[in-house]
Amino acid sequence: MKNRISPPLLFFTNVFIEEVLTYKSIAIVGLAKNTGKTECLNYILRQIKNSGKRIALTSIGIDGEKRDQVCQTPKPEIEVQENMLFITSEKHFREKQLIAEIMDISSHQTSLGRLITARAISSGKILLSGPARANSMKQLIEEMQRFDVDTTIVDGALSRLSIGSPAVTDAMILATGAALSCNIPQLVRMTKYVHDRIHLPLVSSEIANKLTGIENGIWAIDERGEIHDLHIPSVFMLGNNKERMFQHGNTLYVAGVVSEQLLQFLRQQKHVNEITLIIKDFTKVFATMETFYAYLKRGGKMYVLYSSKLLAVCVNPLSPNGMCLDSEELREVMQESLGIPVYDVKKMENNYQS
Amino acid sequence: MLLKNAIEEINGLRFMIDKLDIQSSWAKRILLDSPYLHSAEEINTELNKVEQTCQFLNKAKSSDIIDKICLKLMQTKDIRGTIKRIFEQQNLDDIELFEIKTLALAVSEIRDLLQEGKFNIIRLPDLEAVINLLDPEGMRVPYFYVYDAYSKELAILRKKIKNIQMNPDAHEEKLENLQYEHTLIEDRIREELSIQIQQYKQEIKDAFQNIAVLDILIAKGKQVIELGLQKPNVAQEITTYKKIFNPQVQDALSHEGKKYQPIDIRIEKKACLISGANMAGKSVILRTVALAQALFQFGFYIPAEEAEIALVDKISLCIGDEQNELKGLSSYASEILRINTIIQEIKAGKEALVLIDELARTTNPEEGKAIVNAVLEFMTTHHCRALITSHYSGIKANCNRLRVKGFIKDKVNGVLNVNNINEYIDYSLIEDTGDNVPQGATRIARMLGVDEELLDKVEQYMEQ
Repeated sequence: MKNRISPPLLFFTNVFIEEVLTYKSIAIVGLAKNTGKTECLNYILRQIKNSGKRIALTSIGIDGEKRDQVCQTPKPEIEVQENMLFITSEKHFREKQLIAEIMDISSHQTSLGRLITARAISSGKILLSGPARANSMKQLIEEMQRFDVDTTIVDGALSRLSIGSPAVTDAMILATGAALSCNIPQLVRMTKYVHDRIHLPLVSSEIANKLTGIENGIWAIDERGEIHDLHIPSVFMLGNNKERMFQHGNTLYVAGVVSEQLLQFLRQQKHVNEITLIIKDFTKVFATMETFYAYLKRGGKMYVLYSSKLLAVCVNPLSPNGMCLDSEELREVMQESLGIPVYDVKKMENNYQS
Repeated sequence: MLLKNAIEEINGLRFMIDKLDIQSSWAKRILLDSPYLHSAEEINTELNKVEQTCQFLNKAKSSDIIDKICLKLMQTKDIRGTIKRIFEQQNLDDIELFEIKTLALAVSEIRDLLQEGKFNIIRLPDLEAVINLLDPEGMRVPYFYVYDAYSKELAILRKKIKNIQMNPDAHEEKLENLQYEHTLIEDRIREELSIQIQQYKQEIKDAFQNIAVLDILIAKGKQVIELGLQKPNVAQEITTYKKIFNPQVQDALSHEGKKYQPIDIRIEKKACLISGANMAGKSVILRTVALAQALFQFGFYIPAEEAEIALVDKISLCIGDEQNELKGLSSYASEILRINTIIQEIKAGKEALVLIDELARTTNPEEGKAIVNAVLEFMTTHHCRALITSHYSGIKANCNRLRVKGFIKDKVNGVLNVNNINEYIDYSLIEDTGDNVPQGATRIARMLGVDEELLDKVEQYMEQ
């Protein structure tokens, strides 16, 4: 089937960038190393530099090494554009290759020193480092209001998918590509798994109001909408607590992590098609793809308390070992499967330039 | 002794310090490093500053200015590292120059605010020259980079680099050379700035320290008003408190909807024995007196309606909460060793305020009584200000005697329980002439809900 949502590239570009700018904060997360996250970031930065909006840029933990620390492949550096704000550590600020005006030094300490907020006077390359924890990141994004920032872009990391959590940023962009798998159907499946978790439906506001503020434990919501703490000490002890689990009905709220074990347990229940599992947000699912889909296919339902917005997926057809997938095919298959815009930013820019 | 050591020893002092609304964390560190003051002059100087601050805070029009000053204080950062580097004549980098500029601008704004409010107990040096150095474009915003305005050469070079960067066909090598040159010029400018800033190093250091002092004074002043603290006078001989109270206990009581009863007390240069029933607040008296003395010696207002306080070299406490059990000492051993230390200090000529709670309570009553007599006599003969509480009767030593009034007779018929007991006790101190100690341990135990069978037995033994 031919792709029907593929307008001309230039039009596409604008829509993408315009949408990015409607959010107060946005995370760019790579699904694996070398999936082209930095390429995608640089593309966005180049495209929005003349938007008239004030942009701030930071990273979760350390990023922007000149060489990939694992594969030793050359890595594109992040290029900050004139007038953009960026937040990085003292160490990386001193190594900057651009002129930048210091605007603030936070008292927050990282392993690389305090965090510096600066405005780029000239465009140039920078190593980004930022707060390593979701809470500090959230705080930092809020503080950007002081400098009239319209959109804060967070360079995320795969291991820190939690930064894409709705509790931290308003929206996210995924970077995926041949580095994750060189088999297009496999790559699409793996990406779709992330996509599907992000797009889990939102629980009704009535129930959400009752569950807000619960930080841990497994809870049941009975038919009258009353909530009950099931006092299940650990998801590793489910076997012993089987009866307790469903004593108040089949609607459960797991405030913490949804482990493989928990989802397996639910999937194996005879009445799985009557079970409704509510989770905090998509970052809490730590189960394999197979278990996740098996649970849903058998009729189990899953809702989130906080939903995330996945803006777009960027694909990098090139893998670090030299394999190159067909960009257009990858993009089309991916877009068809996910139903959201998929871009190959490198190709877009090459097309644009030529 | 520093304040940070004193808060470990003096019960209730940490409460007072933690409650201070200090804006910057380094001002709090400076406060914690402030010394125990030994001369009346030092203490008076400090107390007068607090007094002036309070007068300023009490003016109606000040509150707006104070809020603005506090906001500025909150934004100032600890730049001791940078100041140290200026004194070491190091070359400063952008981050350090930024810190100095931010400080200089904040100091200038605070100076203006102080002038506007005619509040002049703190002298903040004029750092306009430093601002001018670091703000060549005259924008007066607290940001910094090596501005084009520092050098024509730099401005031209930057334009050149920008043009080359815009041109995709540019020579990589040429760009690198220009960037190297750019770095050299920037470094030269930073070096020049560092040398120029050298001239103002003392002013910068003073300004930095004085805004911390200002921060502390405002916090002290606010606390004085909030808790109703008073300025103590320095006494030569006798310490007297009128309506002294313990802010921490008062705070805890008010959370339960109860009232704190302030008391009057007079401390002469001799031993004073305080007796009173259980739960009559003897320990609180000792702790409160210790707290007030400590606050006074560190230059704070004190929690009383009126006070004349004699200076002491040391506040020696033996309240029985030392953790020597961990060292393998029994409670008696640890107490008597503590008393020994106090005695040795007094013999060495230290003027101490000695506060001992229930001396020798953990040994047999005969010897215990003898110990109390001996310690009281020692303190009196050495003209030492000492408050010692005890439940022992038959104390003969030469000393002053005070007793907590205790249960109010005409109220005693009401239903007493743990929650309302404080309404039935008059905590004030009266001079005691006899040597009989108030009794009531059984009654209080009964009120606390202790087993009836046990208490009946206690009473049987009492009758024997």
